[in-house]
Amino acid sequence: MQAHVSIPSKEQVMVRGLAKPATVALVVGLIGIAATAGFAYSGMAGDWSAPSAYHLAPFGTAHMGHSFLVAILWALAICLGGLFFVILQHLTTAGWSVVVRRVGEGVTAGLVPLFLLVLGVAVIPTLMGSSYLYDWANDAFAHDHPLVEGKLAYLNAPFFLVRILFYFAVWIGLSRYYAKHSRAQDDDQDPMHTLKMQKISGVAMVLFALTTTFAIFDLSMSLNPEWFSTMYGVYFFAGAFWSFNAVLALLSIWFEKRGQLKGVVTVEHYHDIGKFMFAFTFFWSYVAFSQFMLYWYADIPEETGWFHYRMWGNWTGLSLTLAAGHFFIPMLGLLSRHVKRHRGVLAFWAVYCLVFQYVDMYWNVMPELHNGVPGQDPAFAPLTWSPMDLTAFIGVAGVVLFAILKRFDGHPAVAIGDPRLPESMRFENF
Amino acid sequence: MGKGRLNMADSKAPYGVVGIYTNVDDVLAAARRVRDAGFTRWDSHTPFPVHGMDGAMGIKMTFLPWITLVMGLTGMAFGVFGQYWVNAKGYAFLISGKPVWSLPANIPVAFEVVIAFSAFTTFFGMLALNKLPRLSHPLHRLAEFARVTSDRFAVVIESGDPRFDSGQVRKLLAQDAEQVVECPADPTRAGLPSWFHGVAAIATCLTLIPLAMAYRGRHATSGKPRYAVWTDMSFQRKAKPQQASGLFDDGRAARKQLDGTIAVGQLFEDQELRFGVQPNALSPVGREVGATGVPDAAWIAGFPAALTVDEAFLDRGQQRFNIYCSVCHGVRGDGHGAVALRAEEIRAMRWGWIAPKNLLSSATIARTNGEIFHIAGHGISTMKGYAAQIPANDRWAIVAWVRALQASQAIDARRAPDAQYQELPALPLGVTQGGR
Amino acid sequence: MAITDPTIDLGGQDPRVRPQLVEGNNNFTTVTQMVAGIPEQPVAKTDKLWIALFLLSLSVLGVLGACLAYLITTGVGVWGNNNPVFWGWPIVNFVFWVGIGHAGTLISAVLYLTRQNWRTAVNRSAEAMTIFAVICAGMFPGVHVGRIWVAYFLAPVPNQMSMWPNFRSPLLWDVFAVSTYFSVSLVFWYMGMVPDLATLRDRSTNKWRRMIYGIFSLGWTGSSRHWHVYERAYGILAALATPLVLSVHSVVSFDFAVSQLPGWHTTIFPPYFVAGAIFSGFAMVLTLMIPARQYFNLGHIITMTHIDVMCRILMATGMLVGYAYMIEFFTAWYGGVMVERFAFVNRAFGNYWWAYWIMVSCNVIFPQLFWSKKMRRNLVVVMLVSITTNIGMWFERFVITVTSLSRDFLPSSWAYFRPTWVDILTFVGSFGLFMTLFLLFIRFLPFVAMSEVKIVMPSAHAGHGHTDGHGPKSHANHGSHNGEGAPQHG
Repeated sequence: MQAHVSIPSKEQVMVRGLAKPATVALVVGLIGIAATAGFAYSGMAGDWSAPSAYHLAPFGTAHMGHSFLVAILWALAICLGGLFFVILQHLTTAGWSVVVRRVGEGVTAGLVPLFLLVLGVAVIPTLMGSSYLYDWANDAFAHDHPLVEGKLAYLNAPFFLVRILFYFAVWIGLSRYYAKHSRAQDDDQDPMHTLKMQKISGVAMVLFALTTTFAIFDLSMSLNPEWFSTMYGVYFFAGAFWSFNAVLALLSIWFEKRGQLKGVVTVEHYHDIGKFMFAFTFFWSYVAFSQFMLYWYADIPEETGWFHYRMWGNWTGLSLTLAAGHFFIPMLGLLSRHVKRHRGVLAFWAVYCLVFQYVDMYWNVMPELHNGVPGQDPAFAPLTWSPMDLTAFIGVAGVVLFAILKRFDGHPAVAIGDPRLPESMRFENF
Repeated sequence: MGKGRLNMADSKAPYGVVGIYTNVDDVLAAARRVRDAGFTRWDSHTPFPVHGMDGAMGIKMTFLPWITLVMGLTGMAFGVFGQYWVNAKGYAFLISGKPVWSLPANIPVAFEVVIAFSAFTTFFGMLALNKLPRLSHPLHRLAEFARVTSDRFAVVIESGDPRFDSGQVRKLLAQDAEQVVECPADPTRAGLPSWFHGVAAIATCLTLIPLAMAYRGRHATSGKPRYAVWTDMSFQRKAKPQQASGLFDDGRAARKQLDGTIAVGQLFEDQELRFGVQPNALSPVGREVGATGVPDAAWIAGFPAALTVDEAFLDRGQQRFNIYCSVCHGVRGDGHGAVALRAEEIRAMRWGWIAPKNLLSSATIARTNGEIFHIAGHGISTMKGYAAQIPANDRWAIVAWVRALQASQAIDARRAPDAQYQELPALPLGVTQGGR
Repeated sequence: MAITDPTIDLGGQDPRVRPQLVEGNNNFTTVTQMVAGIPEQPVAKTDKLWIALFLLSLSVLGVLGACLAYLITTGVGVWGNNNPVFWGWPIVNFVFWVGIGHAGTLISAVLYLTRQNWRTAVNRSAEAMTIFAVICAGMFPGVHVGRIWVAYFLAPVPNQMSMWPNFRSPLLWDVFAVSTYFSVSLVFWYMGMVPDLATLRDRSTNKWRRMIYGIFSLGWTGSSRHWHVYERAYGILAALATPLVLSVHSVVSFDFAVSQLPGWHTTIFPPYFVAGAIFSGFAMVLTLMIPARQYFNLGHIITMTHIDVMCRILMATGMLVGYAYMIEFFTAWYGGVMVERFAFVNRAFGNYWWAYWIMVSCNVIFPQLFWSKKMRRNLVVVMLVSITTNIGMWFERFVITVTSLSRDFLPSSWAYFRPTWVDILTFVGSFGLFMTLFLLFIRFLPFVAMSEVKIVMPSAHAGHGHTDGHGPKSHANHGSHNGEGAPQHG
């Protein structure tokens, strides 16, 4: 490696031949979605519990909704992490990350199918009056819970729709803006594109912070409409950026193996991605611990309830798994410099992070399946593993992967027109 | 400085040969040359860490991070177990309803201890691995070397190196060098100056004096009041028992009891009324701690002689019972009070809730009056004592009312003659259905 | 190939070129002279302005001493603290100072880990500021305990009462967090200063200076073998100090947030306090650095680019704080808890509405000026905004502490808090302590980390020592290459 790097030609880094894997991902994804619906409506995997007073739908479909939501939040975390990464690199005019920024831009393509999935799973059923996901959508439930009734000005189906439309409009708009300018720069190498992208990064970051916070309030926190935490947006963000860096590492390694990033991405860049993963293991733990500890300490019933049924009862094991698996194990695993500088080991930990991001989302969403059901204590409801969890995950992941691969196909895997590319390729940790 | 003094060392072998360079490239090149020539006792000196020098000199990665890791883990163990010992073992007390050992509350301090251990280890470990502080070094006496901490770079080959040969070394270093100079050996003696030992001995003795005084102070008695820097209200203008006072004719500060007054503790002389035990069953000393450990036979079965048990007394007992006891035990005394109902609804027994006792049970009926009185005042199991809220007379009235409930409520109404059964009133409020 | 036409005018923000961190025609020699020249000034020739400022600071410090003596001999009743506002100005001032004490270690540690090389120009003085601010901070809870002669109760030392502190109390966490932070920051600061002290030692012409700097530089010779361990140690300390910085103000926020008091008990407090601390810390760095830079003629080292970057961080953290204000308000409504809603409406429109709106305008509105590059490069504007930020952040702590306490759950205990003259003079006096220490620092110690500034100069890297037509500008920031195959490559 010398001070003068040779910038690869466009042809060398061009991604080709992804149409077929993308189609496979789409087909698998659609089969997964269909299988989930099939399980739910045929009663093969669900309907093990009698419909309750509030849940108009049988539990099988309620479970389907929650399974989908876990998978959607998992994928949304990754895609929003990618959007944050792209904005952050422009905001800080970062040099090291140029070689992997295109990968980040590509990941944000998953927001389009996620928009359709959120509409289909969360928004449209709610608009149609179903409360299989959100208890607040049920008039009888709201009427019986004065706290929830007081929030109906915010938690109501039409406003929910408007907000979701707004969030996705912002995200998809930003994702397309950055992809457009970055690709245009591949051809003309005009530094003005960089300046333009930098210029809106400040506003983009503000919009990102607000939309992500409220989106996660709406999609996940309102599953238990009586519970609230000001930290919840930060909590989701911490996990989101953590899991995105795992995806970034995996995709970069993959593109390097395929040859498009060969000689462009070096072990130095993996080292930095690994450092992000390590730092956000810590940051997530810091946020999660603070959120838990403050509610545990003050011990106010409205607030501790949410943690209570996760801690004492059938969910105890999963809570402990999360604490160990989302903090202690990756912290020790990612501590060493050698781990971050070896592609194979880093890939293992990246997959590990993605698994535990799923566990985190599951832990956030699934106990709420039983919450708000009269006569049901979410702490003691039987654990709800179901084949639908797996099929919904395959469905969502497949469809999102399809969109991401499509975005990559036929374009360079690296922003070859970026004026800071030589700096990035030359980059070394010290 | 020190040019003249350096000459003294002429007889000794020089410390080494120093090549001084003006820029990074030259010093890196010189370092590579020296490395490749196979020298072992040599070093380069730069005003800032030069990137690439580790490779140029072939320096191996330091093991400092491992020392830090080990000490960090030690810190974690110390932080966690230290807090465990202090708050759960050594000085256990309840606060804000938390268990004495509450891990979430111990994490912040444990974390800080980890950081403190690791950080100090890193700093002192760095010094130790570099063999610092070292206040005397031959290079510090070399005038040409002074700029190496500002804007010059140096490569030094020590004369102790097995390959050292003054002429060759000079040639090796001379390429690109600004100058090559010889560094004389340190002329000062290696040990501490002789006067230092005397001063250190005297200083050590002096520091022992306060310790000795403290030791003596702890083991000597004195008739004088202790010396207080901060008085903390220890000295107040008031009279204490057993003190003399010129204020009264008899010269005593303590006064005899006046007619019509009650002295502290005097009220407790009626042991039947206050403790529910036979007269004089408790020693005068034991009564402060209550009637713990009295033999069963000591409890009185009836009511204290000082009380009159009549209808007014029972009414008083019912009223007090409904205020203080019925929330848990229920108006009927059957253990289905409002608190019990709520606890059952939220299934509080999962967290160790213990349901209130049914006062109509044969076990409670079998207790003596004195015992029930004692429980009302001092509590039992998870029930707290009510001595602070309910005066003794009222507790006796409650005992009387509990007896009345036992006499009336435990009877199975269905055994009543039909005519009377029809007349029975509906169940009182709060005694309706139990939980699900 | 990427660099097409280097002459295109992009308004001075060409992304192909990194701004130089050290401006002007400077080299290692001139940088050393510029920085070391300040402490090397003979004592007899000390500048009159410095003496005047120092005497002023000393007299304000005297006021602090008098106030503390009065307080300790009389009792905490001399403060305005009342029932229910038990935490009045002393705690407000504590949080204010400890917040300011966050920028230094943040700059040295977090910016080191994120390779923000511009930090080298300001880290030394920011770390010094941190240490002095933490000293001021620690003083307030120290005297707030009332009988300060039994303050050792806070430490787990065996004592005649066989009594141990309560580790479940956030106030004790604070003792550990602040003392760890102080000692680790001190070590970090001192360790960074050792090579520079060696420079001063080697340049000194005066025997006493040579001896004193000699003792404190620990015999540093600039050996590359030493630098190797030193750099690892510095990296580890940075990695340890980063979570430490986060933890300290988080623990301070726990003091408030573990309680059940409306307005205090909210989960966003830890990151919100940390953001606020960085915000106020950077404001104080700017407030001190701009006059010092002008006075000592350090414009080539602390350049307008440095100030520009710090302004952007100031604005970013200001908006993080604004985000927390907004989320708190939203959640107070969304949570549906009556007392919580009251607490926030009361903050904005109650008795202390003025304090709240001073806080919002200083912390959220004024920093928005920094969207404009012109404003970021106008020293007067930067000075004014950094000062209003300091004011705003003091009011933030006042608003949090006093509005919530003065309107607690029980209306019969509501009271209005008024500071006494002792409160006010103690706070003013703490600035005397801070300024005295800071003035001594800039007079006798290297104000800028010389050895670190030299690292980020182009000539510190192989291949740049000679003028070979390869302009130093193109990778002044990151490009650092040697011909050695670094051993880490696999």
